[in-house]
Amino acid sequence: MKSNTAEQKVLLYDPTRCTGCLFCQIACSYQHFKEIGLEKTNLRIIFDEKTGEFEAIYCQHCDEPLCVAACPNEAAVKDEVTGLVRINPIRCIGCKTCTVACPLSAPWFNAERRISMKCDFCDGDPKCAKFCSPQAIRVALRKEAWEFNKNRYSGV
Amino acid sequence: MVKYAFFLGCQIPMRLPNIEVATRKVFEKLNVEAVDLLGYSCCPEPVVSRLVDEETALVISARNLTLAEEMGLDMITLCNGCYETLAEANEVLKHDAEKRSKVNEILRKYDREYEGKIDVKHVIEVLYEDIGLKKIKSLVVKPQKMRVALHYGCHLYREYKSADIMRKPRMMREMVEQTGVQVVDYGLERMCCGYPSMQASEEFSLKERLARKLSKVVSAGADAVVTACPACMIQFELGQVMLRAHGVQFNVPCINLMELLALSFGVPSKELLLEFHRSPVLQLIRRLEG
Repeated sequence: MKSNTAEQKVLLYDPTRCTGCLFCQIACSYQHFKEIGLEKTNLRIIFDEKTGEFEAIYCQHCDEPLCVAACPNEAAVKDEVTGLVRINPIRCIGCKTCTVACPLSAPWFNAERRISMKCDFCDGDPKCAKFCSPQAIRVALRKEAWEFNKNRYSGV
Repeated sequence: MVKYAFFLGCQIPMRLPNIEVATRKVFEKLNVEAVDLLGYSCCPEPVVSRLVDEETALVISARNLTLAEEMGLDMITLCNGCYETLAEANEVLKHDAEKRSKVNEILRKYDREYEGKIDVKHVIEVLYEDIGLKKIKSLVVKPQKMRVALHYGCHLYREYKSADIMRKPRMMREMVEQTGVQVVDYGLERMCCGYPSMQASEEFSLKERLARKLSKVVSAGADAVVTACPACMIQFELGQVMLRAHGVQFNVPCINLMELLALSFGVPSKELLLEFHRSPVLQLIRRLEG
């Protein structure tokens, strides 16, 4: 983590609180597409049958985003002040390179619009976090998310 | 005597009168005076209504809250969804002056004003904190000899008093344990029943949530599922009927917490409208009563 980005806001997911209700996906889908659905959504909750735990696939708005580095048309852009990474829908050519480059495959291909899409942090008020009853997904500082995930994935 | 403004919500009076009947019997035994809120509306629904139009949702909640304010009573809810909607609105309006003034501007047209004078509590909190386990235990005259799996429901994890999301679920578990049942752990207690995702995908809701939970409940050897939320109850009961169309067969009774308490307090089962259940609760109780 870069020292000057520690205070930026990101999303933080704690699987030990998640119930898998998918209100986050429904809220995301409605916010961006005005649809109550599970398909068109910028984050996904999956269930691991082996461990009986949930896991979330969502954008970390990385310090050094691979989607931005890989995008051949400069459609994926990082705002260095807020730290948010967005895909410009006008510049996106729908090549899916960002999906492949992202270690989590957080950007997804919207077949209707023929472009890639990803979390835009709902302009500072992420609806997934707002409607999560147990606060499994919430807004946190990057330094907090870094510590949490480092502990969570150490040894994985 | 503990006195509260009683918010029944929509599902209970319209679809699950058995929960209302059981609750009133339990309140009578425990000396809880629940004053009906006259003229209340839907809470409204905790997620989609707020997503579609947050301000309208807040105004509707605020109007309901003003009804309790008029009585000078804290509000009690039976439904997890109503709890989150109303407690959340109360929290937002108490702390966000801008939203509160916008909401009051609209309420003024109807001669109402939200003042932020009351609290919203889930029935579990009231029974646990105001009445206490000791009193509940002392009233158990007919221990329910069954093995139950608990389903707390997602909105019960919403917390305003603590960072511990298990605060209310733990209260529910301790309360259930007073009724003479044996609580069996099945590993997927926290998992959602699938009610919310039903509006997005019936197949996902039934197969990925309800059926997953039920198969664990069955393999853990539970006789029934106990839930605190009417929406979860609808999912557990109607969902099992709907699962049959997908070729999946379960027949697990689902009992509401208030019904379990009423039965253990010795309320005769025939007074509890158990025939309203769409899962074999009546059959289970008859079997237990021999």
